[in-house]
Amino acid sequence: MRPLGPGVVVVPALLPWLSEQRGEQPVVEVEPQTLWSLQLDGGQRRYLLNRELFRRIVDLPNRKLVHSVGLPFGGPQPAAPEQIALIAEMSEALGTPWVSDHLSFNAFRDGDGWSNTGFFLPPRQTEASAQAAAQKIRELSTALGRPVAFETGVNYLRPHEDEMNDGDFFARVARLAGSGILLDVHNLWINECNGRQRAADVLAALPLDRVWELHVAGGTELNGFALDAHCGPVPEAVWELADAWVPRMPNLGAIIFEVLDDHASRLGVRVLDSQWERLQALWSRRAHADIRVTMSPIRAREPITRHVDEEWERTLAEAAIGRAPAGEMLACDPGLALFRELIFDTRAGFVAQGLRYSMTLLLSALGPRDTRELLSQYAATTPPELFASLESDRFAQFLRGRLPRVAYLDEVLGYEHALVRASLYGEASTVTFTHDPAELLDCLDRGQVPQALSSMTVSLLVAGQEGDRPGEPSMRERSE
Amino acid sequence: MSENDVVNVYVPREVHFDIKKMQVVTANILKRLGCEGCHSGRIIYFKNLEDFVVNPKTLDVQELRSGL
Repeated sequence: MRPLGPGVVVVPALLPWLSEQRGEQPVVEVEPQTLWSLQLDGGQRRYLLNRELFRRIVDLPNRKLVHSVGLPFGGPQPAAPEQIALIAEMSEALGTPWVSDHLSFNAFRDGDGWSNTGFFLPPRQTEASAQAAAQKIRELSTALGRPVAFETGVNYLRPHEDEMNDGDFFARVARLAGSGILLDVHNLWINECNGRQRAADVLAALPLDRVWELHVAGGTELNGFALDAHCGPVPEAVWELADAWVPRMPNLGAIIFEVLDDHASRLGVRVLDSQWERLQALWSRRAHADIRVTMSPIRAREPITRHVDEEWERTLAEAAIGRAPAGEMLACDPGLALFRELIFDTRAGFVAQGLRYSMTLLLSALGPRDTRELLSQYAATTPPELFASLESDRFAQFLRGRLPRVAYLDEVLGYEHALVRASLYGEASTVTFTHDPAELLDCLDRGQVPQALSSMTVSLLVAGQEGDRPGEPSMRERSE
Repeated sequence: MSENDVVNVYVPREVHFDIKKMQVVTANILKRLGCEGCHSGRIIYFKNLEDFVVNPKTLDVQELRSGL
């Protein structure tokens, strides 16, 4: 088949930049789950696609790839059928030649069910893990009816002597699965910077004919670690590594620059243009005109015993989410503290998204230290959620049980929680303000502590989308 | 939020506050409720929010622009 080319992960902030590209059009890579919202109906999870934004992406003239961020191949949790069905539908609409996800895990067994880790964690790198991951890759390929590639992950833990090294593990999974490899060059470089295997040695161990796609990105530093943060231009060392190895990858079909939405708008057009030029130059180093991308072979499901690995991963997960102390092997690993911080910040970030005005009030009234302490108490008692809506709902419930004495917090939290619940459960509710809500929210928008606001009693009805229209009597206002 | 996934805020006909403001706030909150943390890139929204400082005299909160 004809290779796709260089491109970018599509985020809303990049849409104007994409529309202004003349000449060669960047490939756009879609992360399906970032276009979903979650709805809970009893115990049932439903994923709702943002069809308006998705239609805009489908209508782009660019070639498209699907990069899933919710069905990782590491760990024991089976892929959710609801996710597979929606990814299959999106893949068809986008015409992606392959689908990828991560060689990581994001959930662990918790009693009779599963809990989320809130962040991709590295799987135990053993033969049994490689076999289990390969089985999940083959099953996804069969379920989607498309070739599947796995992404080489970032790993902030120290290497362990009783595990395969990174290169051997990736190579083993690729051969067992008969899959493609999405080689994240930035992750390899980050891993090397943080003391894991040299990126060049990882590359030398890989079956390079299985590398269908590259990711490049920019990062930052935190607590002495190089961090995969998707926040800036690609470091020169990553470009040099990719320059040296791209000519040796005969089936390379795409090279994608990853940047988070908030950072894309901050980087500006000039930086984006310079990254695009470098991507095109890198792409021109390929030596082959056509590529070969294949489905993973279908095989009967085999029982794979990996109790020891699963136990190790559960220990890592419980320590990383702050629920339990680390086992002996992990306790002295500084990477664990970093994972803890990243997971906590991600959760706090979700709460700040869903309850922005309440968090602004808390930060201004209590200060960052006490606000963080409140979030820590919450995080220690509740496992992470993968959707900002559900994390915000859980935190709002927690907060209502111990509402700090902060002026206007009751009203602001009541309003924001009603919106979150309407989104999650389709639930209608009435919210009462005892002060002018527009004045109150305006203050918070301007970064001012609200003071001496006009008194008025206003009831708002927040209605979900299920045709839950209000009757006139439910709307009332009384000015005082 | 998609067209089919709208949360409505209904207010009285004769209101003293600005319904457009409420709609903007509502939309801003709701459009960010998806799944954005399930990737390896680091989310830094909380750090952004932490970059507020309070002026002890006026109690105004000022946002600092971080170098990130």
